[in-house]
Amino acid sequence: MADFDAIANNLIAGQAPKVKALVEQAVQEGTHVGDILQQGLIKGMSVIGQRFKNNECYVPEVLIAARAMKAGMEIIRPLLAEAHVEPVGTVVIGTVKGDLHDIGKNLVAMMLEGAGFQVVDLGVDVSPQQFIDAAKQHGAQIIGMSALLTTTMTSMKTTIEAIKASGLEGQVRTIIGGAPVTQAYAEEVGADGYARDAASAADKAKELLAA
Amino acid sequence: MRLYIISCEVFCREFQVFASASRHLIDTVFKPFGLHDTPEVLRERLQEAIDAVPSGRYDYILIGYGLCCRGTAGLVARDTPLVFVRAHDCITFFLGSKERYIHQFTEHPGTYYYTSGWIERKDGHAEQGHTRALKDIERQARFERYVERYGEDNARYLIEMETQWLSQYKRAAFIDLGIGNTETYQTFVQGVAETHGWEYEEIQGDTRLIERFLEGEWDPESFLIVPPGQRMAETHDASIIKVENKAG
Repeated sequence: MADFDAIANNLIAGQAPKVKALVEQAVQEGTHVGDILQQGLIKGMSVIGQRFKNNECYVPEVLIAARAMKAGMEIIRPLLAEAHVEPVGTVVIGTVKGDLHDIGKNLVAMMLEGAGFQVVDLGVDVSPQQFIDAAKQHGAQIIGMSALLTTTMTSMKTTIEAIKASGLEGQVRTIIGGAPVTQAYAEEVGADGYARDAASAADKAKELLAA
Repeated sequence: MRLYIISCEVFCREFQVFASASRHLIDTVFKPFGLHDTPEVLRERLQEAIDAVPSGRYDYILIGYGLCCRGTAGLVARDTPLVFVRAHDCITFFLGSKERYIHQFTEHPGTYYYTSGWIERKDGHAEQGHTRALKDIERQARFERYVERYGEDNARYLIEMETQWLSQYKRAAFIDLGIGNTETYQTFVQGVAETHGWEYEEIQGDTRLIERFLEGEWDPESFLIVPPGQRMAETHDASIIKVENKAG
């Protein structure tokens, strides 16, 4: 019997090598990869996400926990499709045109993956067309955009307008976030959601999927 | 006119040069560099400073900040009108116009801009003519803290994550305004460029926006005057900022 709690607890403590070893061991013992994902990795990340939202832990703790999750995911990712474990949804994510600051976006990507999403990370300085093409190619339900500067946040508006003009409206929801972004701005530019931090981004994505 | 400037210390040298030469009476107060990292704190500190200005002593209060991560959005004018420069951040002041900044920004994304203030107040400090980087020392201290808390392997990963943006940047640009110890600044920025594998470039600064700001030549294209009882708000378009009814 795989020790899911040990996986989750080591993930919470940011112990990547231990998580990797425990997940490998669980796979070898024949544990269902869907259970390893749900009861080990996702469970651990949800604890970190909750603590982060409550200010009980900070960015470094989230980063090392996410790193531990990645170490576990690398083992099971190739096995998930075989075992017919589907992601809860697909999110295309990136920083908008002109913006090269991605630590926040990376955190959001980690949180989304930790919540069971497939994340297509387009990196930084992503043009509206790149967002649209990737969303079509991967059949994404959500496009996530981030900006750190007031100079670049206006690219969110142009990207959302391009998405609406591309025929993806109705199929794809948009979430925006980043230091200068507010709920009021999200409403102004017609984004479907706004997330003030990485943990709420994952919650918002789930909420939009269910809507 | 009697003018009171509440400013970021990034403008220390430039504002002092032109304030002392101005035909107006100008008093200045400089706030510490880096408040833009915590926009709520920036807004709070500036509003406190505005509120502390005695009624009737000055004709205008000049705000020596851009929108700065929205840290100035929402500032309220009390009895004295506030004057703002239409700017996202201080680089507009140094380049002389918001149009020139947007041009630079769009043509050369990934540029780290340096001026005397950015060098002396943030990335290093001037000491007997030598500008010395403090960042490496701070980073080492942080690394040691991380090792203690999360182990060496995680500490290395965290520093790598924190400094990843450096590899996205491509250019270090020194904006030369002809004020201060130019040679020292050039050497400093060249050193930074070398360390990070960035291109080094010198951009001719333009002090005319700063001069007009301090001379009271406030055309509505480049400046915004917020009358008593109103507040400043962002616009999300090329005008950057606007006056908003306080009740609204």
